[in-house]
Formats: sequence, C-alpha cells, structure tokens
Amino acid sequence: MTTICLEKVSNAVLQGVDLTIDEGELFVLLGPSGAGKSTLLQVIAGLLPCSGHIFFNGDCIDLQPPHQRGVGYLFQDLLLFPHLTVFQNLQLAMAHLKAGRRAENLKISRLLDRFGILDLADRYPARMSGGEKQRVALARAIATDPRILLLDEPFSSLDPENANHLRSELKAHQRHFRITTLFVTHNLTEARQLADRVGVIQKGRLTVNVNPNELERAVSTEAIPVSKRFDEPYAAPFVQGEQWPAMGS
Amino acid sequence: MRCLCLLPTGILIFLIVGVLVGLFVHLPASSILTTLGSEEIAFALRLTLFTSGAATLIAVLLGVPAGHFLARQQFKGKIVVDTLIDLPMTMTPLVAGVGLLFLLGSDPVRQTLDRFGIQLLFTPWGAILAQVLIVTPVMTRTARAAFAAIDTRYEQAAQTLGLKPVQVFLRVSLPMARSVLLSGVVLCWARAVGEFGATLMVAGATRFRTETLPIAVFLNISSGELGIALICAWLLIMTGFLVLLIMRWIGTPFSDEPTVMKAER
Repeated sequence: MTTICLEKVSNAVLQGVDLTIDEGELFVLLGPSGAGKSTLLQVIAGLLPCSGHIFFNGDCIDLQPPHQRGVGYLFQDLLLFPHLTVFQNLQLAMAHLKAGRRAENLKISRLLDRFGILDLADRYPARMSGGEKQRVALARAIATDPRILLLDEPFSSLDPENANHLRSELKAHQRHFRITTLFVTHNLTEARQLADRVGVIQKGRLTVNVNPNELERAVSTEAIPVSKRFDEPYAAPFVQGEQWPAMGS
Repeated sequence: MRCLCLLPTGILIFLIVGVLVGLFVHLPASSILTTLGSEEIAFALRLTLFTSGAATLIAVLLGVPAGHFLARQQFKGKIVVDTLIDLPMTMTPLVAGVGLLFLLGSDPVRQTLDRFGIQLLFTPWGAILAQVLIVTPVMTRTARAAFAAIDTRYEQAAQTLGLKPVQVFLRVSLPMARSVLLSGVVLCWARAVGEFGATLMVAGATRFRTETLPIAVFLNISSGELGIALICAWLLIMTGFLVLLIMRWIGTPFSDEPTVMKAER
C-alpha cells in the first residue's frame, strides 16, 4: 500500500496543488470540466511534465518515466487494445511483472473471475458492451499490481443504472485490493457514493479537502458552490463577469 | 452526367486493354512454354525475387522506425526532413540511379567500401541498393500514415501498464498499424520488382549477372529477342495484378477485429 503526496504541483493548468492521499484511501477529486482533474492524473502518471514534487511512500518519483511509476490508469476512453483479446490485454499489463506463464495465467483467470468477465476472456473489445469494457479496463489496471489507481471519470458515458452498479463494484474491488485510489469526476453523486475523502479542484487549484460527511456542509456553506441537488453532475458556478476557462482537463 | 463519365472511363479502359492486347498478340504462342523454361528467364526471375525481397526487407527495417519517428516527434526542420525523405518518390529513378552511381564512385565512399571488400557497383548488391533507395520512401510514408492514425493515448496507456518505449512500439503500435504496414510492404515489393532506371544505372545490364526481369525486358527488346522480352513483361504484369489483388484483400477488415484505431468507448 502506498501513500501519495503531491507538493506544489504546477504546470500550464495546475497551480500549486498540494495533496496527500493515505494508503488504501479512495480519494475523489471533484471539479467542473477544464478544472485540471485529468491533467493532475496525467502528471501523477508521468505523462505530462510539471514542477513541484510527487512522492510515493516518501520516495520522490519526479524523474521516473511512466512505465516505472507503478500506476494503474483507467482512462476516460478506457483504451483497451483493439488488436488483443481480453485475456491478452491483461497479459500485456502483467508482462513487466515477469511472474512466469503459469502464475500469470492463474492470476488473470482469478481477476477475470472476480470481475465477472471470465467468459469474455477470448473476446475482442469491439465485441463488448460499455459495462463489460469498463470491467475489463479496471481489471487490466489492477492486473499491474499498481501502487496507485488513477480513475478518470470511467463511468461518465454509462447509463445511470449501470454506472451505479459499477460504482458499487469498484468500491468493493478497491476495498478488496486495498489500493490507494484517486478518482476524478464532475458528479457529486459519484463522489458521495465512493469517497473516503473528497477534494474539489477549480481552475487548477485544490480548494476543498473534506470527508464525505462534511461534503453536504461544504456544499451548504458554498465552499463547494454547486447545485444543491446531489443527483446532478457537478455544475460550474457562475461568477459574475467570469467565465470558466475551457482548459482541456 | 452518366454519359460524360462513361466516355473518359471508356478511353481509360481502351488504353489499358489495348496495351495488354498489344503485349499478348505478339507473344510467340508456339514457343511460350519453351521460352518460359529458358535459363535466362529463370535467372531473371530468381534474381528479381532475391533483390526485391532483400530491398523490401531493408526498406521495412529503415522505413518503419523512420515513419514512427516522423509520426510521433515534433522538431525544428521536420517539414524539410519529411520532404527530403519523400523526394526519391518524385525523382525519376534514372536520375536517382545516376546520383547513387556518383556517390558510390566517389573516392571516399569507394575507398571505404574497398577496405571492407564490398563491391556494389555493377553487382546484384548494387541492384538491391538502388531498389532500396526507390522503395524506402514508400515504406516510410505508409508507416508514417499508419502510426499517425493511431491514437497516441493507446501508447500512453501501454506505458502506464509498465511497458518500456520499445515494448510499446513492438507490442502496441506495430500490431495496431499492421494492416496498413502490410499494404506498404506489398507496395514496396511490387515497386522493387518493377524497378528499372536506378537499377540500370547502379547495377548495369549484364546478362546472367544483374539481369532482373525489367533489365531482361530491356536487354531482349534491344537485341530483338521479342519472345523472352514479352514473357518477362507478362511476368511483371502478373506480379502487379497479384499485388493489387493482395492489396484489396488486406483492405478488407479483419474478421474479428476492428480497423478503427481511434479510441472508442
């Protein structure tokens, strides 16, 4: 298990983000489009440059390339490799672990079983439903034995019922594997349902960092200036004379 | 409108069929089989397959990494490098061959090659080099287009899964681009098989030494051996036809895999 610590992380989008995620914690980062949520994930994964420092269990990983950081990244578009079957997608994710073919196959079968997708092992991503792809992508991210799991709005394209079901599954898997997790979303319902702790990012700054039970109070005191209805996606607050920047988050 | 389009199509078909018929009617019908079995044609065929195969292999080894580099990297002067790599495609092969002849004949290059006991000019190796010069830009261009069509986030995803950059290239980029790359390989090979101008300049036209199929056509037309020349010409035509068929087959989406490489949910 890994504790993640960000110190004054900045780049063109982020402005001095300080954040600590405790080991095994599921931290939900909430914010409107363009706030810098996805950028922060890419910075942690080493896919974007930044100033400041990132520590995994106290070790600075600033200079480590993405393939050495040990992050499991679930992209918004999932990015399952279309030329590989489900089994091969997981096999590729485990290649660097050098566990040996038998141990690898056993682990993949167990993972697929746990995620309820064992029967999809030989199927290509193009022939799966949205929910099935989500499960495969999550299984693939976990197959790498990551130190931290980064989830970029993975359920945003699913229908509410399916998304709700998958959120429960995700929470259960996260508890089971005890992986430190950073989940970004613009959906308050999602934050309430999943979070051990919630942060709010606006214009590249982390403005709120609370427990879920403090979330409603933060909303009511307008520390989180959003719609009072939690079943609605996070709406960018309208500030007189000020537009939210359309930065690619 | 239909009539307007029909006329140019008809003219085009007339030209192509006319050329084929012209080549066909002059075939020595009575001696096709004996000519086909002649030692000269067998040699030309063997040499053509060897030189074109080797040239295609080298073109793939050079062109695929170069195409990936050009598709993924941004640097100052990229447009100049891009244009330079494409240049042999627009150059007359004869001119490219003359340039290569001068390069290989220049003192520093010749002395260096001599030191290693390598002889390229007027040998089959020279034919391979000439073909490499002509076909590698085709491979590079195809590879560049193939890699550019792949969403870079697939490569990023592979990196986060613990794959080193070389592994990402070999296990993700290359397989995802394979159908386009394969069509590039076939095109390269076809171009190498039919390469004449540059090969003539660098390897010369010597019977049973540097006699590829196009060189055999040239030599035999020059010496009035119409039978061998036409058989060689038909072998080249059949190769082209085969290549076009293969290209159409490659163009068909793989049965159980998608061909779209942009990320989709």
